[in-house]
Amino acid sequence: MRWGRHVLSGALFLATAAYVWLAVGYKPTPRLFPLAVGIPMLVLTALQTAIECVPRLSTKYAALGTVDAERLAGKANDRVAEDDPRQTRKELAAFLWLGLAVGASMLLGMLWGIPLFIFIFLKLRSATRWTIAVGLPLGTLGVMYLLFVRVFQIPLYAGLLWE
Amino acid sequence: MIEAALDGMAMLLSVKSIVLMLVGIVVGLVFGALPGLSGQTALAVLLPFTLGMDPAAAMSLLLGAHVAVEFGGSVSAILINTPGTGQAIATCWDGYPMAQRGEAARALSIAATSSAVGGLVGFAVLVACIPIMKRTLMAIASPEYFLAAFVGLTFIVVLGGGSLIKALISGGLGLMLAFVGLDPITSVPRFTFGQLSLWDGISLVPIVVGLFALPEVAALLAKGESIARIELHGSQRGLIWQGIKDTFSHWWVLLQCSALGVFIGILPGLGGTVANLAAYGLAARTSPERDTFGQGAIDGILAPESANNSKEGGDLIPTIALGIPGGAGMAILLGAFVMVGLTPGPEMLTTGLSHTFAIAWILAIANLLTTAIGLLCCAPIARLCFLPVQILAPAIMAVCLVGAYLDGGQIENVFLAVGFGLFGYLMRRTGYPRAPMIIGVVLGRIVERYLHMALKLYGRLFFLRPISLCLLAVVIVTMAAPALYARTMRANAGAGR
Repeated sequence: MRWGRHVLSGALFLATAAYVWLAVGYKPTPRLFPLAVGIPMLVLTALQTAIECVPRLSTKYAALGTVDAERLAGKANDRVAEDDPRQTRKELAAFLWLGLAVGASMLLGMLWGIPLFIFIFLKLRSATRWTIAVGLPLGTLGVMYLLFVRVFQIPLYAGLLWE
Repeated sequence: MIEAALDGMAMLLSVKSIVLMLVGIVVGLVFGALPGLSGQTALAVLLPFTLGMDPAAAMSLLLGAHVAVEFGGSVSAILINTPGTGQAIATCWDGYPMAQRGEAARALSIAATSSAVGGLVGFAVLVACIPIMKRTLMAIASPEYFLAAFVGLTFIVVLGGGSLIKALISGGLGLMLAFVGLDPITSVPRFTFGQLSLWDGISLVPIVVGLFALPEVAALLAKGESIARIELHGSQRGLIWQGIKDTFSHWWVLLQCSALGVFIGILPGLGGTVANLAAYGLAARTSPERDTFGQGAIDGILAPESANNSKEGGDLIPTIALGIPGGAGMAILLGAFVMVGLTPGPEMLTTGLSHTFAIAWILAIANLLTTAIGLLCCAPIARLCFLPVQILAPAIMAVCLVGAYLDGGQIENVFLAVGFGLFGYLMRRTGYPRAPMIIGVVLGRIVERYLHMALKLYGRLFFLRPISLCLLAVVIVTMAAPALYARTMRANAGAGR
């Protein structure tokens, strides 16, 4: 995902620049910390963008990764995933499914939208048996109803259609 | 004092108190395991039921729930890489990789056992501090809070991974996000773009759910695997027993992180998330198995979990002695104290001493009961990791979205979670570490608030107070250690060649 690195570093630089520009407009007390963080961040994101774009720099600044950090590389499941376009497409498709879940929750409310999303996912994406495809959403509906509506009376998002 | 301790114990020796504690623990475990439903929500839901109860029964119910939330949070952190509460963020980083190895039962067992040990350390410190509580607390002020939080910020480098620049950028992004909302001193809205929902800042739950859980679900779906990537060898019971043994064989890290948790608990306002992250950072630096951190290290689970629970003992010290709640949960407990007729402050250390001891006993017993329940449930819970991802993924997505919504009850949080999910995915694919960003978000506001307060109250030389100087020394050592270590390693490598 080489292009992704360029784009992300550049976008972070631009976002930081906008952040600093906004912070400059505040009075001295509210802007103190945002600027204290934003200005060094501007330098760091510019340096990182340069490192991504100019291969010669990446070898020169490789020393900035301390031994300690190198030893701990891979922390928090942050190992860089291998570049596989098929894998990337599948991962991005997962976010589309997530978008469907959000859409269903927005329209129908969480109590009905989430079970409906689970049913559609299980039937269309996973192609599971009807017993599971119907049973799991119904179970989810039951648990959500009991937990949030009956026992703890915590309101869930009602949905645009019902509001 | 011994008489008061025995009186306190006698208050709890009733079926009613024990049953209420068990009810509180079950509610706490459920609330803890569901992202977005925090310990505060559990307490708020239970609080009305305590009206008319005697103090011991009410405290059994509430403290039982408060303690159990900590372990509940680690269950979802280990199984689905989504911390149920903010206090379980760091537990994901090694708990989930261990679950991926097919050892979820072992990870849960380590979490449960280390929680119990941490809780008992907190209890011991609470009891030991009773005679000196007030005087000790008066010596700690805003400069110490600022420096303690600053020590936590230095862990950004430790948790960074391969590139120092990327780690710093990630930590900086977290800090930048922390400054969204009203300025703590002047109440001027910053970076809110006219959105009222941003005035209180960005909630932690959508950030954590987005950065950690959603990219993981996407990766699992793409690979089509179950959470546990390998077949289980050996029995679940064997793994649970192994987890208990692991915890006690790492007794040094356990005690170190429990002590850190108590210290952070004593400082009001820092909270459990700071204890969790700081303990992980400390263990990542001092543990003998630091090379395997992030890949399912035992110390990576027991450090944050022990600190979480030991913090509760520390939290109770300012709450009882001064009436200053250590965190949001303690603020609700403080209200409950007053509701059942207890007055926090000097009275709790003199005429109400037996009640103070009763609270300390509840803390210890609730921790042990939570661990017992946790260990009993480890095996069935761990089997979730072997379910096919095609069935598990929509359920995890649902939990994440509902969790994001419940934190604040705003639908905007759901969109934020998805946005952070995409951002977390990009970070994961391009080698930006995500853990430093969380540290920045958690500590940014604390550092800002206490630095302003320290400057106003003590001037520019605020760090010249005795405890501040000690903390400053810790900051310097923490920042200098990686460079010194790197130098030693280079020198050793040169000598080896």
